[in-house]
Amino acid sequence: MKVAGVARTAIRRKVAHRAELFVLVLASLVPLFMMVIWMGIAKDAALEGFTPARFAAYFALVFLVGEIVSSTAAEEVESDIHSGDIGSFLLKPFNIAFYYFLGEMASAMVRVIPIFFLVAGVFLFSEAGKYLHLSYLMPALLGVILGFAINYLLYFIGGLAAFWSDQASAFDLVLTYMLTLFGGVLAPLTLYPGWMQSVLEWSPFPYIINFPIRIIMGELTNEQLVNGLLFQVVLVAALSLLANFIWAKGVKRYSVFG
Amino acid sequence: MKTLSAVKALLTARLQANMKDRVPVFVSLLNTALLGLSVYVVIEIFFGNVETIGGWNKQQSIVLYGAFILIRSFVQMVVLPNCEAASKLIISKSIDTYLSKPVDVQTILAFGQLRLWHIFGVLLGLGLMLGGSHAQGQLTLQTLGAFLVFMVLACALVYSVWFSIASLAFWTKKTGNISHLLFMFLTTGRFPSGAYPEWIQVVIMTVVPVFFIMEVPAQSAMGMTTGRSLAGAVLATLAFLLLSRLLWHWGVKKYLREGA
Amino acid sequence: MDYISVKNLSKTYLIKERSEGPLGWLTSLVSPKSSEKTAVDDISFTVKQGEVVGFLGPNGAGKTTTLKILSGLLYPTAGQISVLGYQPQLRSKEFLKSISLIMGQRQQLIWDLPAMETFRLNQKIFEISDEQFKQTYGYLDELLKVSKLAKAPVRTLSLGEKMKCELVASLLHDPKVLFLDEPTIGLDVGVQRIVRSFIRDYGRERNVSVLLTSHYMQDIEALCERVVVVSDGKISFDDTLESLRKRMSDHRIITVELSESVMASALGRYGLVRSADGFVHELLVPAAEVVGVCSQVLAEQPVIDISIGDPPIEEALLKLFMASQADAGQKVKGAPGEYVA
Repeated sequence: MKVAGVARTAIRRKVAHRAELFVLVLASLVPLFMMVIWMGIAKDAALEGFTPARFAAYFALVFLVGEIVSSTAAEEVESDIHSGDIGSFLLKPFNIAFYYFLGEMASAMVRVIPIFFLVAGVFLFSEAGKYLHLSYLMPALLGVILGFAINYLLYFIGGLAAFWSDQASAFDLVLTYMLTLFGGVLAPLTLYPGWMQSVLEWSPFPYIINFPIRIIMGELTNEQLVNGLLFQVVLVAALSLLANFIWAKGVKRYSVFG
Repeated sequence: MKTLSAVKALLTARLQANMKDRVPVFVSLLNTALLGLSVYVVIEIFFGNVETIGGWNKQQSIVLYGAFILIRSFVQMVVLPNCEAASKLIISKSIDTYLSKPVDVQTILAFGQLRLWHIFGVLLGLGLMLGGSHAQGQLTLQTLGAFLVFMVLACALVYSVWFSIASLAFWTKKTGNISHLLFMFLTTGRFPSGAYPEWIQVVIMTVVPVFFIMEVPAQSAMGMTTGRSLAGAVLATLAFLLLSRLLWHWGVKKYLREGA
Repeated sequence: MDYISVKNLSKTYLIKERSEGPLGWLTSLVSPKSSEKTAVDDISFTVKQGEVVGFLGPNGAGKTTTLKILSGLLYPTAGQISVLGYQPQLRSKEFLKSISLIMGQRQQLIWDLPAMETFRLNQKIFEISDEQFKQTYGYLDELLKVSKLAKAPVRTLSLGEKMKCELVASLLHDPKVLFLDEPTIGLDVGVQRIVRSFIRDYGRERNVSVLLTSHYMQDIEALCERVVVVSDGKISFDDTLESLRKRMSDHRIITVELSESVMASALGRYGLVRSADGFVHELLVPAAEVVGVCSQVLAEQPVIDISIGDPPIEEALLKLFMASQADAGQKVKGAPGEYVA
């Protein structure tokens, strides 16, 4: 099986680099800092429906889901394009976006294992556990997978900018900012000003981290759940089409200008 | 001083080089716009729900966020490019070409690089701090003077911390990762130390002195500094300056002994 | 006058041994194991003013280590060294101002600025007056033609162009002793020739001492009158290039091309078979027997073509390298009988 073979090498590569991946994990502790800040706030001032334990649950999940979906696709695509290594991919009978996708999946798996145990510990040994609704596990997992795909596609498209400019990393900078600000990393989106929430509903950012977390925390009505998942599917389809389109344009440009 | 005149020559050349390229100007403007957006969003989220964070009200928090942006941009403008270049030189052993010259190599390496256009971020941070101070009626000559002193100390401090890390390249190749980690720790300075549990407060006052790098300068802009904070800032800065100097010295010694 | 003098120089590295796995990591943390590796083993030599000496040896023989010790970039473990009367390991400013180390694989040029900026930087670092800078730069520019290259950012230059600028940057302070580590590595043949003739002219006109390592025999043949061969940290030869050549001059190489493929062993009785490539064979034969062997081969083998030549100097070197390695091996094993020449 071609896919299995490529995936296996991808995982081996990531395991070999696990020390670096671990540092990446350490460098993404922001949700944990936000967790202690919000827990402190909730202790002093009453926030509607938010207890310290609920913040603990929310940010522990942000840490976990954020790690799962986080993507270095943009950097890898950019460096492959700039170094010209992309040329060797063009010769292989394998969908390039899928190749990077498998690499990202592998890296997510390797990174997430230690975090999973950490987060599981939080839920088992603290009050946060009661905010976890395991009956929603299956739809939540589906939400995470779709969120992973959305995030990956966004960064992949960002990385493709390298076909046109050597400053393409500016694009992933924007993406990272947007995801941090509007993805629910700094605070649960329900605490955002109302008008911001209604605008963000139509952007991809809440559907990467915040949405799957709300599913497992049982905050959504069945209708909201189904609508959200449908919107995720639409996003994945639209972004895939866009990625394919830009990729084709980029390759054309690449083969013209070298 | 030939080391100083060498640094001057380097910086002049670097400035000219920065002026030639236009793309980084746009990238940095974009970056600064995003930083501005982040100030707005973060302040809106928090102060839409509470009155104070860690004892700081909305206006004070904006000044602190200004300090965060200023320092962060300073790090990107001066600190990171130099420290990355220094680590790279050490790891690739190209440091040989510098060590065979009669100069203070550390000084040359500390000031040889510059990404000028992050200056927009520095200006945004400065504007937020001084504007916030003015809005609170605190912008007097006295606070301005104190602010300048604390800001210079803060910049020297953050630079020393980073160069200490860069010098670790004499021992390990993973300095890039440690630098990554440090950059993450800087983000804790967006919020006052009072917002964190005590054990984190201890860490950001000593191991990674974010407290003296951002919070104390922000206080100084609002006339809130005391003799104790000055003593603390001076002490922290001197300690880390000494550390960065010693680490470099030991590193070079080790390199000359072992050939790394 | 001796510019460089080296007496009983040794350098040993400590190599930390890492064990595998987390358990091994722990044990090496508690009781670190390390072994010693001798890179330079008790070598002595001198270099006079104006002398160009080629420093040769296989990879890992200790050439670069010696060069780095002589330029003050490594502390020696034992022995006395003196360069221009200075002790390099003290790294005094005066010492650093009077030498230059040029490494083909390491660059001092600031890669994203024009090379001229590196020149100017070095002017400040070495405290060169404007007038002297102009004069020296003019001289170097005349030989290497860099004034156009020096205006473009270094990263846009080719490898050869970079090397030319590197040479200028390294010589602006008019050093008296030059250490060159593989100065022509990776360069194309044309640039190699330019660099070579530059070093030769520069050394002669400025009467400086040059110690040069290179993998390219052409460098050594073009530049050096004297050759020092190191192998396994020891000096196995130190004499003129001529005498190195003479070592081999008592042999000739006969190259024969045959019309049909012959087993190498079939030709073995005429002389030592150096190489056999199907139809073309090379035989190493003592000079005195060349005529006899030639007629014998012509008579007995299906010869299409035959030619006689001198063995290349690499051959002599290889022999030297091999000899000293065999020596070392014998010392360890203490069984001379194991080695058949």
